[in-house]
Amino acid sequence: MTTTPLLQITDLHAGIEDREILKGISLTVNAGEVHAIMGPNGSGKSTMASVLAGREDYQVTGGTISLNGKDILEMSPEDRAREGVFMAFQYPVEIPGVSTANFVKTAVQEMRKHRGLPPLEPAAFLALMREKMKLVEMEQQFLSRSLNEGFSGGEKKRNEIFQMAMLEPALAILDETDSGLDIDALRIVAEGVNALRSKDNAVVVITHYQRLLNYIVPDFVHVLWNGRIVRSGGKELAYELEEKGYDWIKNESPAEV
Amino acid sequence: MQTEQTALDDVVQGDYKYGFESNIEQDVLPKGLSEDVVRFISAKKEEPEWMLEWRLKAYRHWLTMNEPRWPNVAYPKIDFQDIIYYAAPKSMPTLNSLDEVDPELLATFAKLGIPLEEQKMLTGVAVDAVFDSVSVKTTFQAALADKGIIFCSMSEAIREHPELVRKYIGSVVPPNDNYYAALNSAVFSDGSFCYVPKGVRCPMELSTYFRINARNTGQFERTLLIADEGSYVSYLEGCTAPQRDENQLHAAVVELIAHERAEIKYSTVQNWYPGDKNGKGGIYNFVTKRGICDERAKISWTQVETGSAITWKYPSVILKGNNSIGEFYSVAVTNNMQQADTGTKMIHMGENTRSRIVSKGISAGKSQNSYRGLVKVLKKARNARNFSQCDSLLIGDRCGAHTFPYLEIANKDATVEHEATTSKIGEDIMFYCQQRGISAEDAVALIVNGYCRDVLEQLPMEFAVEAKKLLAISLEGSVG
Amino acid sequence: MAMEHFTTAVEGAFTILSEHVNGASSGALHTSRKQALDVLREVGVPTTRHEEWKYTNLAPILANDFLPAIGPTVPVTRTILDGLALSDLDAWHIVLVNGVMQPSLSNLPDADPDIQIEELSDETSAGTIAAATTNPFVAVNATLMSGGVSIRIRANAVVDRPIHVRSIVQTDVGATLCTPRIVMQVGAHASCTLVETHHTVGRSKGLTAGVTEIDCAEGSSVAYTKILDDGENGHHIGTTAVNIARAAKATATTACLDGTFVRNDLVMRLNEPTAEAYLYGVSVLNGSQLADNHTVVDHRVPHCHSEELYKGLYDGRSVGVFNGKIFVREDAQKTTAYQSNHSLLLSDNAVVNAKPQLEIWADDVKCSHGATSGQLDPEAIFYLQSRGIGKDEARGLLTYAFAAEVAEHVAHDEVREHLERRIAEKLGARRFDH
Repeated sequence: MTTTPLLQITDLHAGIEDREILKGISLTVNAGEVHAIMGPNGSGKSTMASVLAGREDYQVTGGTISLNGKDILEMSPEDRAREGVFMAFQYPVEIPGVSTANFVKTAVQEMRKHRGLPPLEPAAFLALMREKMKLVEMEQQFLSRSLNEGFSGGEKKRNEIFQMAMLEPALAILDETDSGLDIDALRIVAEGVNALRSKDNAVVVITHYQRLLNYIVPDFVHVLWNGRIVRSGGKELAYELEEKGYDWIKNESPAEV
Repeated sequence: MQTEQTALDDVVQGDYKYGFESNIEQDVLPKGLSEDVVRFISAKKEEPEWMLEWRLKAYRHWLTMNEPRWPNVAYPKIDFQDIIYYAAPKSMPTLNSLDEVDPELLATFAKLGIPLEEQKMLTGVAVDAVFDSVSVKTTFQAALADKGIIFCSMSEAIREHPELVRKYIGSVVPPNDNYYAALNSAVFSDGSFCYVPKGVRCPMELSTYFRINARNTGQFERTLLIADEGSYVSYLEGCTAPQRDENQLHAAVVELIAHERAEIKYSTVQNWYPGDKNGKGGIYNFVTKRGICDERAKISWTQVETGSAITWKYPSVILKGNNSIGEFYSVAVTNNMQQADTGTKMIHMGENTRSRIVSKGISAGKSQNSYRGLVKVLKKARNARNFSQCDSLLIGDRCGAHTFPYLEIANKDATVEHEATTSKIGEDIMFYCQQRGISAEDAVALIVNGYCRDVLEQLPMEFAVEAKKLLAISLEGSVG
Repeated sequence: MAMEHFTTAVEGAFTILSEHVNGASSGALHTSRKQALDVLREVGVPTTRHEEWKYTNLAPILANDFLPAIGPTVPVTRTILDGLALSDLDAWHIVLVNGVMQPSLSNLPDADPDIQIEELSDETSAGTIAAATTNPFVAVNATLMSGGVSIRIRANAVVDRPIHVRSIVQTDVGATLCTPRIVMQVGAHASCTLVETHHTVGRSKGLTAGVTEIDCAEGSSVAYTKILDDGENGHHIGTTAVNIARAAKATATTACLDGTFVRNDLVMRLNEPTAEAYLYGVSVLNGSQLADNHTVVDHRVPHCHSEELYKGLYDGRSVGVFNGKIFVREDAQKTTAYQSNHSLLLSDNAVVNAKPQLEIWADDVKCSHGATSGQLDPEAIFYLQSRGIGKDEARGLLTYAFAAEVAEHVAHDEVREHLERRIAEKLGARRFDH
């Protein structure tokens, strides 16, 4: 039986200001899977996340990206989000004066509108927020504070996962979510993500280090180097990388043609 | 894919779809201004002799004055002989139902959450008995009279409470204060008068009532508000509903008197027709607003300015009494060819006086938005304190934001702090919002509302909700 | 009355000057004088109704009936020179007397290929950076400028020794106006230090209407310090205009320490991307002194940076004025511009008027200004007291520190130390007074 993959990336070329960063990426992610994209700094990991989410600074010069069989390359960032693409930002922004609750409510109602659902009533919405906040051990006072303003690094990342919980995306891309987190925060974030996993969604974890993968255990690991996936394997590949370092990949990979 | 800039442009270049004109049959005086016109207005209003003399004195002084040119706004010279100075409304055009009203306007009303009956009032649809203005007025007035509060039109006050009017009119904004104040003093059409007796806390926001009452006050509105010792009043002026007027020039005067320990909260939402995309048409809004505080009194101005082609307005507080407090909270949005030069003056005369200024300017299109503020600490004002925060947000690269604060300090114990910043809506913030499924247009509205939160919070609840929606609509249709 | 009298006196001096230019009446210098006089006649001497002069009334100053002088009226002796501030500074000293350069009194480099110093002539451009178009006192200077100094620094030259221009106005014959002009052109990737001081010598009052023009070519670095420390007879109305090219950096420090009346107009133009401007100012006034600092930072192109810090300490009946304009022109995206202005009033009769001003026509910029007037931090005073320092001593230290923060930005050690010493002396004098 053949099923349409959740995410299908085929020969993706993309860059910024005439500089090609992704040089032909192909990746298939099926529902229920967790994929890890690993690679050294500058390998194109964050570019890949940005291109998937539709950041306009990047130009796609070739290839396709489809979500549930639907081409998303021509979609605006908000339409991709409404189709189920969620990105947990490496550097979540601060929006002064806009409370976290208000922000999340706006986003959730947009999603519901897109899915043809009626807007949630305030009481139901509040209850939902409370439930999802528990997932990442966020205190309720964060709801009334300006989005990410004055939040610590860990609080910001937990807020990202909280939003993921609220928006229930089909595809979650975690862009270096582990950077700057201490071990407790890392565990909270990872447990949050794990609780949200289901047979209908998928998670792409982008990371430099293996440590997050101890908590969010991937089904597949891909190593990105110089804009290409140079190696794919199971979770043991992450351990191998941790042990041997990225130089191992660099030395084994063919030089750029 | 649409770039962020074009998305912003689309949003910014939206038309002002919500203006409307009402064709009121009027009892009209020919164009032009002379002593006879002043006499005519005064006679028409059956004013006492002293009021006429007061007007004539103002008129004669006005003749000796020159139009101010210092604001950072540009407009063609106004021909003051080409203006009609008296036009009494006879009756409202009667539509049979809201179905006859421009659907776009109704959509705006709906977005603003204006009650159905009130929509009818505003559009000139005949209202049913339940919401008859007379009955509403009666209900309100009974509640107010119960407390001894006088709240009526200026014309009525001149007739019914001449001793109060005579005592206070021009006491804060003298007729010779400035060019437009002098003009207003000579020809003011009508306006509101409010007196709150000693120790009385006004039981309601003077809002809904005012909105009804405020119709037909004409282009030279005059408001006089007196809060006697230890009293409190919250006063709402203007309307979030879009307003269009044949009269291009509006020169209002507002005077507030807060006696010992009294508190006045004065909130304004101004949404006059701003003119079209090329700057044609639109209201010139040249307003003089000033309050004076006795000991321990407090005056707080809050304004949300989204309309008018030109806004020239500096709600001010004279902190005469020791320990008095002045506040100014302002959001000014300009778009297309709009020009706003607005701010405040805080004059610290008494000891331990405090003032706070929060100004949020938002410029879009080709508009120019200026903050102009004066903080003056006189020699005797020991321990005076002021804090000013003036922020500008630019949407698009063809608008301008200008900050002209004047700090004049003549007391060594005074502490005056002024901060100003300029910023744009960052691409990273836009992308973040979009990644959460929020469209560019909604994201801008959300961000701008957050940016203005400190000011919007000052508005009375019901007004704040409307003002927020107004900002969102301005952003959707006019700002971005 | 005084105002018209002043203009008439300038016109009279111009007529005499015209008779002495001989064949050069159609030369560039004299042509620009004539144009400047036309400007002066048109704009006139400003009153306080003029926004740029709102807080500074010239009428009582000009009531002194200053008469213009060009060149020495009496010989200047070495003794007089040696008595002036910074005379022992290890520097190239250029002496101007009543606006005219005096090589015999100066200490000029001898055939140094890096520095060329000469009297302004038709061949040396003046007025291109500070044009006499709207500012009446630039026009006064341009009408009467004669014998000013042109300083040229060769490209890539690193001139460590500061160049010190000392402008002297002689007032023994009566209240005198002088109009010194300094034009400095700094070649690409060169660096130098310019120090400008003004001195009134004589029994009567002196008014200096000075203009300094500095051109910073690509990649150059210029440190400019102007010190107004001139005693009771000193009156100063000066303009310094600086053009800054690509990757060049200009730092201007203006100190108003003594002198009855000072008005400085400092204009920094960031003309090419990645130019940087730094403006620092300190005023320490007492008695009935007035110091009025007007600054303009003009961001004309993208990717430039400016920082400004002006501080004032006002005692007695003194008046401080600060107007700092930051312009960010339409195309000047990615500008970063910061300004702050802080004042302390030290007496019941001192006054400060501040008008920071941001005018921005570009959206992708980071600009801010802050202005305060207040007192010394009581917490800080207490902290010092808790460390055993007496309250008055603590106040003195903190007051000095408040002003000295500006002096810290002067890179040249001797010049900075001189400023710090003068600030301390002036504040110290206050401590004994009270």
